[in-house]
Amino acid sequence: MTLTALQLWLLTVIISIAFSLSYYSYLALKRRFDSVYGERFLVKRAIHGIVYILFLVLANEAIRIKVAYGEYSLALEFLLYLLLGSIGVPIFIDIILSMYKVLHRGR
Amino acid sequence: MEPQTTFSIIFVAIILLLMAEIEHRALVAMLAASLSVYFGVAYGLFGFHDVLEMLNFDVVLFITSVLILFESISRSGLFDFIGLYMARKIGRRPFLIALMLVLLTTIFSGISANIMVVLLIGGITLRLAKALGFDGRKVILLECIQTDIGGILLPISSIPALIIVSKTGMDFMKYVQVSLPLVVILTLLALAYMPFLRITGGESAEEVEIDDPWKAVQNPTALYRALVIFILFLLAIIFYDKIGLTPAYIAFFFATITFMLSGIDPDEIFRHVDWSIPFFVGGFFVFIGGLEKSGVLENIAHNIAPLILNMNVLVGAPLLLLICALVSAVIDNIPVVLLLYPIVRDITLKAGISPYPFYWALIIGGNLGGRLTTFGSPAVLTGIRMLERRGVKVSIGEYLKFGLPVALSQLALGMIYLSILTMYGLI
Repeated sequence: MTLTALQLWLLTVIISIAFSLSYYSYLALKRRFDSVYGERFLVKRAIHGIVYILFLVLANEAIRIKVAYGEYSLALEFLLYLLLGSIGVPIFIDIILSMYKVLHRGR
Repeated sequence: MEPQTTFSIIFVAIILLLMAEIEHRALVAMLAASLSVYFGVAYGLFGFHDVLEMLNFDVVLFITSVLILFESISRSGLFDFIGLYMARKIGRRPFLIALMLVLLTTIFSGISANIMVVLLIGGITLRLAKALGFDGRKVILLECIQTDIGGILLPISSIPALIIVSKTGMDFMKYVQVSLPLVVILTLLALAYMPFLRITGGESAEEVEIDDPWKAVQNPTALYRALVIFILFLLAIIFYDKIGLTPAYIAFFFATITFMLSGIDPDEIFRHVDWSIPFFVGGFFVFIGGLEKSGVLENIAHNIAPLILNMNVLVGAPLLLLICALVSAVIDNIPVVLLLYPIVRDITLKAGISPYPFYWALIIGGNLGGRLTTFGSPAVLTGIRMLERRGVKVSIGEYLKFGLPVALSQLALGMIYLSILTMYGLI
């Protein structure tokens, strides 16, 4: 499949938006988790992150079952994965960092 | 994704939310219900019209009405009155007064919400401890532990009991025949710990008169009426099958009568009822319905079944009690019972064995488990917070050192009791 210049431009814009979204969602998430848990309740913080990831998977499924058989299902699913991925990656990073800190503190 | 996978993800997320206490439990149940309904309808597992049936409206109505009746009896000042009246009769004998307070807590928590009883009797305990110069801290902790014992007393005493009784249609008198001896035994065990508390009047005793019991009653007429209505309600619940009415309707009717005749301001009752409970129970019922229809519960039951069935029922039921108690120590006991009830029902139905020992395991385990930790039982948490507000710190270690031996020995006794009743076919 070859992409036209317009499609390529559009894809670049979308991916840039996804990166920005990812960055700001990380900032928002970190601010919220820091205020609620700080550095004290890291396991709880990680569990909260895992729950968010599970909800993202459910959100993906909730939208997918509604758009799966439509005309633009492939494009919509791609956008959906990009959107949820851009929110999910920062959460995943926060879980990893929290678990790393828990293990590091245990030594 | 397969419906079973989706519902399994919802299940894991909800259990994690409840375990880590990230959000309010009612909110978690409402979220669980919303997700279950959305996916259930989207996958074609059930329709919107089935949701009302899944909600178990009669059980939710029963629980809400009982909460209103509990609130009215607490608001009437009855508990304060009896506590102070008995304290006056006993006189300045700290050990006997502490003993009486622990006993009253057990009885009152059988007919009222545990948190309310802890707040009321805890308040009296602190006032009497100040007047007589004894250490009220350990007495309050023992009272907190005993509220969960009182939760076994009647079918309406705790939400786990309410759920099991209203779902199975267990007879009121048959229930009390099993619960009363257990409550007596467990209370005696708790009282046996009291000499170790060394409750003696100290030099710090203030020459303060024990309060006049009538001072605690704002409106004596409201007290008499609330008491009469509550007694009539208990009688109606005992004979509900003879009257030909459902427990939910009886409770609703008496809640209405309370508003009309008790003389207590309905707004006052509405303001103080714990509305999160009906939302939590209703939401969780819908969630459980979704798990049932998607086959997740059947999967869990399939894995749990060998644990229960491969063993003698004499061991299986107490083991389920232990599991239920241990899980209730970290998660709220309502979802534990709500989740385990249909599993136990299906397993015993398929195996052709009596489900009642297992239902009792859920009632006893659900009530006794919370006290194993400071955060598992709302009553313990309330008692500790009440002490903290008065500048008395109770660390987790301190609670475990004092409370855990009592809670564990009561749990062990509960398991033995259940095993004996099962052995002699008394359940």
